Amino acid sequence: MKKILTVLFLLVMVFTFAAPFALAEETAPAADEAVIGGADEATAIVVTEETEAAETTEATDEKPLTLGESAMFMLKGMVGIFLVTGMIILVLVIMDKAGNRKKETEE
Amino acid sequence: MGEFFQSLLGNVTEITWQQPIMWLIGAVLIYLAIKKDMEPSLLLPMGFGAILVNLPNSGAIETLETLFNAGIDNELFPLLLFIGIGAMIDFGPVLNNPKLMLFGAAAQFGIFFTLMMASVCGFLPNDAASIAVIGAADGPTSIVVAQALGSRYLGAIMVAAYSYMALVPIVQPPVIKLLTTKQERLIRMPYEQKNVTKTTRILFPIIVTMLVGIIAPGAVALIGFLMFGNLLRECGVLNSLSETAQKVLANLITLFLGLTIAFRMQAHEFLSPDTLLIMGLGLVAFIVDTAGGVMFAKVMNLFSKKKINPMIGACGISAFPMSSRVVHKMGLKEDPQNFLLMHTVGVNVSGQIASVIAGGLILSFFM
Repeated sequence: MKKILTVLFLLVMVFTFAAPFALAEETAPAADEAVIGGADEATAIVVTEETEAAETTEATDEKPLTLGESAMFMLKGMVGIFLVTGMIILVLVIMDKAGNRKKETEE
Repeated sequence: MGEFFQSLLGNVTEITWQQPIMWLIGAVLIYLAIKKDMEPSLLLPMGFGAILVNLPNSGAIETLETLFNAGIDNELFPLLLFIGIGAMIDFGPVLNNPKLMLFGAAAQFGIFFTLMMASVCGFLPNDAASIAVIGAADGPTSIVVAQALGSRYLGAIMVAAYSYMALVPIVQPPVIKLLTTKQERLIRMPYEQKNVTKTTRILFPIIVTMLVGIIAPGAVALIGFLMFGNLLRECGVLNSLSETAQKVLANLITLFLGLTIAFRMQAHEFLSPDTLLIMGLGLVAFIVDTAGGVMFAKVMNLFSKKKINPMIGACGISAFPMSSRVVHKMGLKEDPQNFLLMHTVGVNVSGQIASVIAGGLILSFFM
């Protein structure tokens, strides 16, 4: 039971970290391709421009985030936290080593 | 005669059906604070405040609104409270074993997972981000983020954040037990005490502030005030200021904070299906935070020679010192000779820093 739960949770983590890449193309290209499939070039250009405009203002849009967008924020957030934490650990390790070397030379 | 009673008891007819429900919620918060000793310093003022603002034509609303505008609208109260919290925290266990900070980082997974869940539930980005920060298990950070992002659910977010912080002993153990085996819970971790120099202790708050500030500028105020409090404690020449920050300042701000938050607990704002959803999402955040820390420790065990007791990963949420005590007690229950306290405290204070970084990153993303 515990092993199943562990594997399940790991799968959820893997999925959520992979989701941004899998879902990145879910909105704009899909919409564009659908219109291109309609064989109307002018409409396709307009839709593509509108989709691009929507992408640039997505942060201020009064719409909930899509699954892909929120997964991307999650990826950015976790990478950001580990980056800052890693830097803090690195500085602390360097300070510790410098302190030890100073003590050794004093002795 | 009728007019006489009308002038005397007219206000009674102004009671709406939602207000008694809010009195009940206030009473439950007061009960939890007094009888169950759950975050009494905050739940008691919040509970009383919830009753205060939900009396018909309450004259207290204006006063609380003034306090709200003076202390929470501009994020002053939570930031000042952070000075007191910083002065209370001893970062010694982290400085002794800096690797423990990784667990603090891993346990913030719940925040970002909840952001996704809240978005799926249809919350707008600013509200979803504010709800997600309940998972920081850090009241001041939740207030600052929700207020800075202009979330209309501040009251519900605060109630969820502080209630779940108080419920850590109930929420965390089942999640930890579900994800770990008996053998894993029995892993012993001897504590090697290193000599942390005073220079390291003084430089630590300054370096952390600078590093976090450069990567996540939104977090500068939060981490800066927290680390300033810690610098007061560690510098050794401002003991009276440090003591004032730890006791007088922290108590005074906590007193006002709880009461002032109640301004956002007026029935027409608070009683909605969204509030129940926020409470549910808050629980998800706490559970996934706990699971994230435990799983990270289990993954680390695959690669490291010195085995880590995965239970300590759960302390990465910033509910300090509750979470470290809970895991320490769980360790003792499994093996009365297994003392995990110093490790759990180290992970727990790391979670404090990591939750502020997470809050700052959320602000950077959505402001």
